[in-house]
Amino acid sequence: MDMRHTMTDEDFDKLWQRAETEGYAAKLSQEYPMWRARQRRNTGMAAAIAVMLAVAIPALMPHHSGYGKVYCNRGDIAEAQWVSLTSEILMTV
Amino acid sequence: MKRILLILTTLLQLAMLVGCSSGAGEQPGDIYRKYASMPGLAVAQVTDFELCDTVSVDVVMLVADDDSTWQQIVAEFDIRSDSGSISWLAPIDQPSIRTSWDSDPVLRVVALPERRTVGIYRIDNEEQYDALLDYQLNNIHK
Repeated sequence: MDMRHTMTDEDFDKLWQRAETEGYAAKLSQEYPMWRARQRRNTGMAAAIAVMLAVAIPALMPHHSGYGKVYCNRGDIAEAQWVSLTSEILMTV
Repeated sequence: MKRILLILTTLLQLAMLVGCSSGAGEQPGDIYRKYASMPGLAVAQVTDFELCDTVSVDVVMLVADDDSTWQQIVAEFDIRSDSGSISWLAPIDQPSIRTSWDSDPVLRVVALPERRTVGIYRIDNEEQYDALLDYQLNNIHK
């Protein structure tokens, strides 16, 4: 039975894992080359999603550093020092 | 399902790319640029310095390396004390001038002679003005 057009990717993945576990994945791949192609496509897509989420999620996390950017005319003073000084000076008034 | 996820994450990446690009043109302000090239003076602009969860301000800090440079700052800002801290409101882009609060944006300038430091806080609205005072009151004894 050809299930290429009826099976979801998730179901296909489960079936493929079962075939690998039970040792007939290679035989299936030989008999049905499209299965191997679909398995590769699914794996590639999962990897692409993982990479894109890994980039996107940290960028979407709330920014809690207490400041946006620091522009400075010197390289010898760290951003954190400037931010700390910005707060300290206010405390002196 | 995976295709939908892939399309969504791709759209998300594109949106982030557009967002980053729009911020790429952000530049330091006039006050920073005016003092950044002054010899003997360390200058920084801290953007969006958070006063509380919802209010932030832009700040320019000037720190003189030595007394000679500090004396130039003292003369330019008309700082008439050698100790303690001095604070005043100034018109935007004219931090040495004293003014009073009205509805227009102003600068809150704080000079600390003992550390040869001047902090210039940009206040665009009453909410920022109040938040600045709250920040001082809430943190001063910590």
